[in-house]
Amino acid sequence: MQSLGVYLITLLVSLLLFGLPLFYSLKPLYEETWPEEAMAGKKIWQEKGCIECHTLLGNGGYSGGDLTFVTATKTKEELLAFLTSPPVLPPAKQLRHIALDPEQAKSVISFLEKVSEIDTHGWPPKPVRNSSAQK
Amino acid sequence: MLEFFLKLFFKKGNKKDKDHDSPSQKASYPYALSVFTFLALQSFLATGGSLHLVFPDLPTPIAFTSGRAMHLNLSLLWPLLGIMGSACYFIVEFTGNELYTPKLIKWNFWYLLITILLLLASLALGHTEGREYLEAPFPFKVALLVGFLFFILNLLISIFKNRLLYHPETIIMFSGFLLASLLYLPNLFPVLHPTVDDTFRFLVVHLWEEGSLELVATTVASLWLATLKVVPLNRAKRLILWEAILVLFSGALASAHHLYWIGLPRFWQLIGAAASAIQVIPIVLLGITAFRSLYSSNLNHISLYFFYSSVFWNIVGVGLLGFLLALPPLNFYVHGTYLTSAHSHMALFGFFGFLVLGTSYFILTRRYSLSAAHKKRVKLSVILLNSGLAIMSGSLILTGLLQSYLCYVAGLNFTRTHLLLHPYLLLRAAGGAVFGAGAFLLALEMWLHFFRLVIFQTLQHR
Ligand code: HEC
Ligand code: HEM
Repeated sequence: MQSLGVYLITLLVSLLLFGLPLFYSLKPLYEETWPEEAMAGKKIWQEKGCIECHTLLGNGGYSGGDLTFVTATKTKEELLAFLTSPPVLPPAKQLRHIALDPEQAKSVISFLEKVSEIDTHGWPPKPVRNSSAQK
Repeated sequence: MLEFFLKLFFKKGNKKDKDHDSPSQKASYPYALSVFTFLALQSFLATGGSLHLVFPDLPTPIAFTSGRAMHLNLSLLWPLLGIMGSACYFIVEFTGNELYTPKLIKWNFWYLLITILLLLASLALGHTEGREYLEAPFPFKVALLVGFLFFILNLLISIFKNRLLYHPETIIMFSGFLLASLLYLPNLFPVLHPTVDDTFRFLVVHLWEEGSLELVATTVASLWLATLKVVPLNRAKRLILWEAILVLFSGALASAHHLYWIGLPRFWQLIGAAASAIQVIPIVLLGITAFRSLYSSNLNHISLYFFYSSVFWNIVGVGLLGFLLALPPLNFYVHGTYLTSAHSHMALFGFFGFLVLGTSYFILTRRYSLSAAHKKRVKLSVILLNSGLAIMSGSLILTGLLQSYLCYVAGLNFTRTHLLLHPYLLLRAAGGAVFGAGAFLLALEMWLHFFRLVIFQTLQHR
């Protein structure tokens, strides 16, 4: 009986301890407004299931790379070209990357630009040995 | 006063007799059987998917993205179905009272089964909401939630009807289910910000298995061991409360280990590391109980193979690997690598899945004498499942370590790294095949058992 009381109090306290700081951490993000194009881009990103192959903020699938900061390493034109006339991706010999039409691609890029503004506390790690020559 | 109201609204339920399963308990059989079936389906899909990762040109009937979404949804849904059935079974077993309506449990099953099948079909056709683990389109999510709420309502009425308000085990299970449905709510509607989006997702992905449903699972497991007299009932009951309190206290805050790098303030790293360390305590507690139980003279039910498998993976995959991954300086280098995948398989299947398989197996076989051949085949499938999981998670750990080294130390780009990972990913697929063989054998055996059981019963009733 008494122990049931302890249980119910733990239930409440732990939910509050987790929920309250989480609420205040999320509130400013929740209230952010994003440009129409980025919002449309997120929708396309979701509808096409890009997350099953790519991580964003490190969460997602692992067969493509993390795209959180892809707009910082590639120019808009490069990304647009990649998405609208996608190449065959090694080790595949035939299968091409999923293709988007230019409108969709622009929206997705605008979405990814907004994503790159998120503060990830330095993640992903910068390579210790910078071997850009190998790329 | 309370008693008066209870009497006014709820006629007291029927008592059950000890040597037979009651109608409510029988209604949980289909839940148990579906667990084995879905597991087989899931491992078939997943082995195909893992091959597709290495040989992208292989012709496949469904796209990789669809297959992965189905795999992830299944990984949440069959353990859910299984734990619902097991909870019904053990609540009735230990309170000695029937649930409010066994019919509703039965109909709930068929409703949920059809919903899940349609949901999977919809994912197979490529409809997706594009959020990992929660890809199912909105109407399916609502349909699932409605079925789940009916189940919870049934439990609630049973609690009132049978005066179970002061019955800790039942209340813990009930609160676990209720919490699970509440955590699902924020995931019904689209959110804009990716950080908020991911945080909401982890309320289900993490907090179902390490909070709400874990409350139910540890309770069910303790009652299961008590039924088998492996652990004395009073010790099991004490254990249930302490486990529940620890699970709650650490589980919620430990979700913070998913929030380190996704755009939330830094203090979450401190919370995540501390709470994840506390999460290890209930695992140690369970490990000690399991170890002590090895001296019990009642270790004769074959379902215990599943229990000890679950404890093993809980210690290795959750207690050890999970704990290490949750340390922020380490997580920095392994977040978003295959190591996460190693951990999630050991935790979600190794710990949680094996537990649900165990209680489900117990429910389906308890009242029947089992042939030696059946026992042999079940043992073989448990060995295959464990070896498959070991090969799979072992190779995923290697893949993850190598990936982290190549990307973050040697500085290779993604594509070159991924090509170098292929041999290990192929090994993972091989592990998957071994696992799949075990899952198929087990499902087949359970269906055979079920047919024998049905025929047996109809003959008896003549
Ligand atoms: C079937 C898996 C798969 C799916 C689905 C997928 N991608 Fe990719 N993507 C890859 C692979 C593999 C690569 C090449 C590896 C790399 O560099 O990331 C890639 C590369 C990219 C790149 C170039 C990255 C770079 O650094 O040059 C972009 C941009 C991209 N994908 C965007 C998307 C978008 C947007 C979607 C959804 C519409 C998507 N991808 C869906 C697998 C996938
Ligand atoms: C109780 C059973 C547990 C289950 C079912 C579980 C399940 C999961 C799942 C499904 C993921 C996501 C995997 C992916 O996206 O591929 C994950 C990630 C993770 N879990 Fe657990 N987990 C459990 C316990 C624990 C414990 C006890 C700890 C720590 C002590 C822990 C630490 C982590 C960490 C650090 C991550 C990685 C986060 C990241 O880098 O993205 N988990 N877990």
